[in-house]
Amino acid sequence: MKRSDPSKIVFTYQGDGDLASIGTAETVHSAARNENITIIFINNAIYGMTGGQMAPTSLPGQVTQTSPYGRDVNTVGYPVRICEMLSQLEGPSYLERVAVNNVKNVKAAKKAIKKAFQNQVEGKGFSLIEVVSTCPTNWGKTPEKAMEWLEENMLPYYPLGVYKDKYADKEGK
Amino acid sequence: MADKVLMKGNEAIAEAAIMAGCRFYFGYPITPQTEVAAYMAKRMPKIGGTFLQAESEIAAINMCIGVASTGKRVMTSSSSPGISLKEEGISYMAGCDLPALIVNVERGGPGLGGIQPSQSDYFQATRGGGHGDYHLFVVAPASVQEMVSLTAHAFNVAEKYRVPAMLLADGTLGQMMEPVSIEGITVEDHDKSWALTGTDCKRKHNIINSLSLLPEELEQWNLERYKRYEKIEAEEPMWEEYMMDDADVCVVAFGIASRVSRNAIKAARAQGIKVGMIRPITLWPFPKKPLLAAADKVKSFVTVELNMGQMVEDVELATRCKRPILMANRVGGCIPTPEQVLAQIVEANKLGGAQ
Amino acid sequence: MGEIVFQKPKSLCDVPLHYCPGCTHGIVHRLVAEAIDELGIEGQTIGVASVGCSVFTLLRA
Repeated sequence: MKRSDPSKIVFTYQGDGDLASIGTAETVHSAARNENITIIFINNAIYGMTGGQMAPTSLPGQVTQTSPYGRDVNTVGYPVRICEMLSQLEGPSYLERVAVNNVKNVKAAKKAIKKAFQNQVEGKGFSLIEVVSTCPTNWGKTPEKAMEWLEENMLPYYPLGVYKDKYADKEGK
Repeated sequence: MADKVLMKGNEAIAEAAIMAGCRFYFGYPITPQTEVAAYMAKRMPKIGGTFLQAESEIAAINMCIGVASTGKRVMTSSSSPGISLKEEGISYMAGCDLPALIVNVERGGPGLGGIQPSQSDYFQATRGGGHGDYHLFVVAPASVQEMVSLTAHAFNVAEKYRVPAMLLADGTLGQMMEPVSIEGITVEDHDKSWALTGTDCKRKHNIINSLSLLPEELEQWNLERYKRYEKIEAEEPMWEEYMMDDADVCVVAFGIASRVSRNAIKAARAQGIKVGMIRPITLWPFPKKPLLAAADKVKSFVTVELNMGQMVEDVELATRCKRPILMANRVGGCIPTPEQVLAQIVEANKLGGAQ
Repeated sequence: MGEIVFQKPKSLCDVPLHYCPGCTHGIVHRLVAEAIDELGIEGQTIGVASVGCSVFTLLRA
């Protein structure tokens, strides 16, 4: 789409199945090509729409519909850290992981998302914002408990922060 | 008498596969078949089997190719869009003459479509589905009990002829719960000397491959494969006849459409219309013989499908277009009602004579 | 005299969200819409939603 009309601002809004499982190859290669688009990646460690199956980002020991005895790293491996993985590539311009579990983080997330769009407006290349999120329904928790679980379990595994910023040094931001 | 348990269609398929000796399942979540994967996730580790949620449907079918090459029973399941993703792999399986079971619990299409049932993958299932000249052994259950019996049967036929098999169900059958008996499943023993099991330096090495750089050789492989298909067409068609003895009108329907049609037929009979049904159970090989025979006895046909008209073409071919054929269809996830089918039966009854 | 301190972003359609109560999709949708509003790019923006709950980003029904 962006190649079709570069004057348009194209963004994707993707989950951990689409971006980190079935779409892994496409994600890696569009980052490698530094496509001038904005990716919003919602990482809630589960497949919500289909009823709560394991995601590539599900944590070790996490019980899901397809890991009913808890994610066993011996048979299905460890979760995938997308920001870290993509940061190894030469291509992408801006990768940041944020969360929306408290006001401070929401403000930081807003700043990152806006920058990801700004980058596209300025033709700066591939920007991806990974948003560590909750899925209370499929985690089997209340919204408040889900936030707690996110803080205690997900944030240690998926640390928040900037993983790549090609333009950071030049502009001192 | 066998004990019966209440089971959901999707789960019945999984349990039947396990009873049939399948110890490998690779799949990916997609509505309305995710219960197959969830059930396998629970059961396989308990019996020393392997369950893996692949990263995509393409990865899952390729994992099946791996296991099938070693001569073991393997299954994957998905729904319409996921089956489309698998089609390259399925073509490879056919070209490598690998037995396996692929389950399609159909949903509305095309594209992302809907999550409600359909039968709109009939063409895809019965015309190979992927590229190249090939066929799958395709079965279409119409009850949860048939989800069990046909799963077991498909594994046996697949191994007997070295062809991949497909179980074509729809979202309703997948979600419906009925009492079933899981007993009485037979696991046939077929030759597996072709499988990749390591030579132990005691035998010539086997090769599983679908590539040939010599056109005449590739042609020979195709011709040999089609000889096996001829055998399947001669010996494996399955169908059910319902009230056909004195029928003037013949309804043709498979899967959930056949369940709806039964109600319509009963209502039509109550009105004095002599109508019956031929229900294909194997969609490939299609039961051509009974349909051709029926074409000489009935006045007209009514096909009932959850698509824009796919099986109807096979009915036309089988009956050589000798009789008029009316359709009672719904798409998008909608299911034909008995009233809709009855209306077409009434119309078909008014028609008559050869075309 | 009242002052508006918080309101729904202009580019977020005024339709009920499809998400579960407590789902963070709602928050992120708002942040994306605010960013689009603040950058003034609504007229040039095309969004692509994936298979999964995120598909509700574009479904109205």
